[in-house]
Amino acid sequence: MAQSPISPKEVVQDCFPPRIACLWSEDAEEICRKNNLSVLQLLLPFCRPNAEMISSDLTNRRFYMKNFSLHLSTVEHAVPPNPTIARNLFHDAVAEAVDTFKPEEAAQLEVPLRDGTLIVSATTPWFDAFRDEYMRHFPICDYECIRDFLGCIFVVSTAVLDPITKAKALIEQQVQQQANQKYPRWFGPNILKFFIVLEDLSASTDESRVRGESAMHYFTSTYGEHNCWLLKINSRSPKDELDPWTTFTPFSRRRAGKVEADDAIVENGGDEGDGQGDGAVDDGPADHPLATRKSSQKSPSKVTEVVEIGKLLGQEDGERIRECLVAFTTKCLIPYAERQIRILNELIISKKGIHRTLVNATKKIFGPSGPPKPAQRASSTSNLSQVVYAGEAVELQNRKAGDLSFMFQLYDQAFQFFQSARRDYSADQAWNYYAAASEMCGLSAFLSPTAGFSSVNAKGFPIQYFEAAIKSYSDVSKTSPQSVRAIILATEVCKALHLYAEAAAFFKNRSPEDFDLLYGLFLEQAGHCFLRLPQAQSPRRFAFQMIFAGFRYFKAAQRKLGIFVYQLALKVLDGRGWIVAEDHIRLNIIRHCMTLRMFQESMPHFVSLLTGAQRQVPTQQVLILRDFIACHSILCGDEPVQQLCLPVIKMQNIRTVLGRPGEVDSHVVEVIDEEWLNLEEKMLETKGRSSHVFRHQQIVYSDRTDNRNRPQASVGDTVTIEVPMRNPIGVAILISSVRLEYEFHSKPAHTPPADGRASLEITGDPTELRLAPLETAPLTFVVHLGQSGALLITGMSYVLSVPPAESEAALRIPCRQKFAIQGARLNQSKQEKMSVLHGPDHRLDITVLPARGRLIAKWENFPRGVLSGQVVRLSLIVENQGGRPVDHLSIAASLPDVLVFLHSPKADNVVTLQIPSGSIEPGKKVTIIAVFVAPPVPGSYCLKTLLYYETAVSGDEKEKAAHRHQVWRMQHSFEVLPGLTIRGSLLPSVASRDEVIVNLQIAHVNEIQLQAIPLKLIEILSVNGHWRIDNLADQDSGDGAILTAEETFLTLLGRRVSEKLDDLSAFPVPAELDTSDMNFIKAARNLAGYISGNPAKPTRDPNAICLRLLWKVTLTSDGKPTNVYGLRFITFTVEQADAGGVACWDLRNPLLPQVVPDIAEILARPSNDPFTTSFLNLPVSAEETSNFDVIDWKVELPADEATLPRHLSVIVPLVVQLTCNVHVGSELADAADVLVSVELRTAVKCFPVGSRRQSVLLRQGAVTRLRFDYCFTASGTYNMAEFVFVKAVCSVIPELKVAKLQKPSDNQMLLRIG
Amino acid sequence: MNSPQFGRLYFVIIGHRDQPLFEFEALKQEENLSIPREDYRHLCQFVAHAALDAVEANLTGPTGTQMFFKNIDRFNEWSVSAFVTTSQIKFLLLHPVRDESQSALRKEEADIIRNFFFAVYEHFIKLMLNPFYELDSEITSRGFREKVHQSVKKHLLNL
Repeated sequence: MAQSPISPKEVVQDCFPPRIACLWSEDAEEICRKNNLSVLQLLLPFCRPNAEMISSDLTNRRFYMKNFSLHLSTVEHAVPPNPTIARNLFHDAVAEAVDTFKPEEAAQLEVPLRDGTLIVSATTPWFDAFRDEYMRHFPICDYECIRDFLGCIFVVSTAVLDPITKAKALIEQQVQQQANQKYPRWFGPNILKFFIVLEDLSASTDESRVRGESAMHYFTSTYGEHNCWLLKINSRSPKDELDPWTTFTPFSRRRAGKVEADDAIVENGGDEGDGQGDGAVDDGPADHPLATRKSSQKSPSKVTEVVEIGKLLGQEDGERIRECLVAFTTKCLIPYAERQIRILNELIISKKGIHRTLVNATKKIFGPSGPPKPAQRASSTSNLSQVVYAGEAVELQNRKAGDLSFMFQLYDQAFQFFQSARRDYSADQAWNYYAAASEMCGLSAFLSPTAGFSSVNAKGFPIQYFEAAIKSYSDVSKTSPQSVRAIILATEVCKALHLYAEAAAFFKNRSPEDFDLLYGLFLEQAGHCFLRLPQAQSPRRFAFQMIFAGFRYFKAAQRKLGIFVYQLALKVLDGRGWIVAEDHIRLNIIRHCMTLRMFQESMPHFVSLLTGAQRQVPTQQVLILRDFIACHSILCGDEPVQQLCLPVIKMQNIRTVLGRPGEVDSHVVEVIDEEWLNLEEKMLETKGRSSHVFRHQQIVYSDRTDNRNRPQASVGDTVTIEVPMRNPIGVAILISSVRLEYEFHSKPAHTPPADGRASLEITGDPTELRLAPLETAPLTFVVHLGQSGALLITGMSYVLSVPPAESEAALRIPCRQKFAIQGARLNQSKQEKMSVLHGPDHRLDITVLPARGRLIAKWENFPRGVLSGQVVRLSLIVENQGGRPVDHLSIAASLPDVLVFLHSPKADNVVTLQIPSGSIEPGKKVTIIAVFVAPPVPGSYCLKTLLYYETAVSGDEKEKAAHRHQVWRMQHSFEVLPGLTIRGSLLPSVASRDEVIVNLQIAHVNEIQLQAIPLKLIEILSVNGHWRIDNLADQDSGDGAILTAEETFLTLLGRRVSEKLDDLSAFPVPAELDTSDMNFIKAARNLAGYISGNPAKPTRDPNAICLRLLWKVTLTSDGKPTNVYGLRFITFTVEQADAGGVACWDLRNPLLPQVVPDIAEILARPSNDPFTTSFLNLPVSAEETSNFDVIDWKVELPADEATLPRHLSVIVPLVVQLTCNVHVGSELADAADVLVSVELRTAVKCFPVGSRRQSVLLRQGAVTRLRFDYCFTASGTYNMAEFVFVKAVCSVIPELKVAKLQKPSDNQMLLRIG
Repeated sequence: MNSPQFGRLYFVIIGHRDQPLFEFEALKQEENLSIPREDYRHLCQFVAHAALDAVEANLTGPTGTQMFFKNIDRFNEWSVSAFVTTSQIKFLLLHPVRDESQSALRKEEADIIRNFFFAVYEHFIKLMLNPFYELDSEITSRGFREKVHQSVKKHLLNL
């Protein structure tokens, strides 16, 4: 529990002072009224006599009394207020203590946490206030006599003629009261009487002096010489500068002050509760009637009233009053008490003989001994609590003697009396009396000077007295005020003895009840106990208790206190991820802060609630936001909010694009990969611009790029900044009036912007952005640069508004957020690897260079899907958006043979573009024609093209060469679909050594997109001028159209010519060429020089036969036919060994064909060639990787050639011979069966008849034949290998677990239909 | 504050800075959700957080070498059992208090909870072996949650 300015001993002693009643006559009141005081108020400040008091016990041992005080009160006030009023008083006392509490001034307690230290204030003045207040208004109960009046002071004055009569009347009044009324209670029938005769010196006459002396004489003779006092007051002269009342300190200023307040409440403006009393109620302790100066300065309106207090009282008067009370205590009260103790003791001893022995004997025989068991008590609570002793009962004598001893600090003696009283009550089963006596036993033991309990010997302290007391009280009544008092006192004792765990147990022991304030205070104190546990300080339990205490405080409408304790709890929980708990605390704090209009305190809590994840429901979030805005507008007016991150700006995802917003979205290359860097480096090398440190140029700066270098823009450029933002809350928000905040330093300094433009123009796009719940959307700023220098973008400001709900005003609040981007994590040195370090990020720190040219280029008509070998005419549109002309345009592409720029020199893959006028002026557009030739291999491709340019330099202008060249990147992805495949073989001609026969096999392999669309062959072109080609085929090859899955065979004769032909030799495939194809035929001749086809075999080699196959497809889109053209190329090398011209054809086996694979197959094969490496990612089908055949098969063709009747079809029987051929080497292979299935395919001109698929089980070495019928509808040569599919499944061979296509040995089985 | 319902379980793993790394709330199947879960969530967190003091008091005491602590703290109808790994990560389980009359069940209960803790500990060790899991960071692994869920189903639904 918390510290208190008063030590626990004092607390306990202050609870039980000797109580003396006070009665006075109207004339005495009249005299005091001159000072605006009542008689009681006059005496109260002197109730704590400083003089040494000595009391002696029964054995005449003498004890010095420390901290002794008297409790004076009027008879009426001794009646406790009713519980409701009392509770209000408690609330007021607590609220007042909270209001005056200054945490920064209070003592602090430091508790170590897991990380850091928890600092809480060590004092809780509201608890002290409550405790004092509770003790003051403690109801009178029968179980104790310690709160009864010991005596009465009668005050009369000499102002009336007969003070003795007045005194007699007062005595009569007291006697009547004692006899007739239940409250107040008096200690015994024979109470102590003390008389004070007031003499008003300011109005004293000889007559009154004589009256006083005679009265004194009467009282002395009647009641004893120590029982009366002649008190002279009002002696202050106007010249007396010294104010006697400022030097006096009441023993408890607040308590003395509160007497007035209570008087006013209890008596409802009675005889003395006039304006003075009311003032005290309103203004709290500062308005103690005697604390004049302070309050007179504070409230001028009360000056007249307040200054009058004590105006006739001088220093001497104070001394006299003190003297009077000291004399009363030492000479009258203490001897009286000692006398009473002796009398009571004698009574007890005299009764002991008979009573004790009798009772003890009975008890020993019939009853249980020692303290009762809880169970017994619980079962018989109802009737046992009924035991009530009469006022003068014998059983109370022990208690009374104990009480008297306790009051006069004879604690050992008191302990003895209480102990025997406790035993008696236990025997009588008077549990309330028993509890009260136990409580007093504990207190006496604690205060006992001989036992001397302290924190050192705390273990020996009989804490069980308190436990028994609280238990007994609680058993009788759950909510008895006695048990509350017992808990308060017991915990004070525990605090003094440092028994904090026990104290916490006492506090928490209290069962829930309706008195929330009390419960809250107890819980809070329990929490403070946890902080002070000697072995294990428990800050987390403390936090838990604070939450409960706060909850109770809120229920008890002690909001400020509730907020205070919630904040303490938050200190422990904050930042540890207990988000639900934390939000609960924050929500409560905000709610009550708003009620109390404590806006400053609530601000920090809003931010964490509003920017957190989806933890509250949307309606609540709106309420929080509404409160926040209201709060902010009250505190800061129209100033923008800085700390609110709403919407959340995704700082890391901010993008800076050097270009206009519209044109840059899809074409701009963001990620600069290795391929781009190679292209750029190579380009710079070619251009002679390479330096030893290669630094690439960027257009986009984002979280995916390297932002160690500042973006470089030039004057006249437009920079786009994209700021993505997210709405974290559950309601839509609208941001408007968006402005970018920046710093701009012109370079050179103070240069006026060129051509009168502003140095910067910033526009937001859109200026308003509406974000749905949890939506993320970007906000785009466009910055026009008008002057060179350095531009640093620091943040943005905007107006945040929440669309209004029905019948509510829209919420608007200006906000400002700073941009803070964290750079990439460093991972170079060891230190960087060991720790987490981040590099700089310069994407918002833009360098503005003087005006340069600036090109934006894009492809027009760039295809997304093409057939392999398709040729497309493209145009590259280049626009200069910069302020200066550009020249030296060059282009490099990642796929070398795909783009062809006619009439442009090409060196090392870098094409220097020819511009008609030599340079591109600002604002001009140039279109450059290029030809796109699709790669032969199907698949997905990405074409990266890098455009290089330089800003033109005019005359002797010298500029930094480093900034002159720039690059522009274009990246396009496209898909190549299969179209034609071409393969061929070379046969030596028998006729001539300079002649070769070329067999070409051309197949239509696109079965998906061109399923029913024929590919038409146009022409075969030889691009090597050393060779002339002719068609050898005698038959008519039709219109050259091939349908899906069909093949065409062409046989050519290649003849070497001695002189190089000027014209390329070619022959058309169809009988007649379509005139519309002539353009393409011409273009193909132009292209011939630019595409080598196979880089390993250049077209100029005289031994190479380079053939081009031109084709076209007529596609119909929207009912309109479109021609798509393309070309395929194939190159053969004629082997010629010796230079002497002797041909060395291998004539021994002239029929062995030299198979030249299709270009596609070459490309599919991995090699180190840079061209082919770019295709490495192409999928390679499983058929090609495995050459594992277990079945040899062939089609047994019919002996005689079938001829096709005109306009009819012919059915040819086919026999497929299968030979099982398992070569695995395992023994199991012999026993294994191979399941073989044969399937015939349907093509356009041929199809199977009858069974289409047959399956058979084969063993090793087995041969079987399967018969099929196949129908042909057109004459020609068919490769049956294309139509027959043989698949094998074998359980033994792992590769054959799934069906595997078996290929014939040479993949060719030709069948000719005449 | 309302008192918690019987049958509710709350399991939390707590890191070195007293921060929750992983939270799991379980309801019995037959329980209806008439009372909103939100009311209990902060109470669960408060109770678990406060119980840490009791765990640490046990760790410094003579029982400091133990891993499993049964019923170290109590709040209304809730009892808190704890498990401390060798790396001082704490597992806390809030479970309903048994009546005194069911003392036979109570003994059994200790075994049930211990088995549950060890099952979760095993999953937790596997998680710690994951190089992508950083010590003391929040556990977001869906697989871990799934495994804890299974352990709850296996061990605790009879509790």
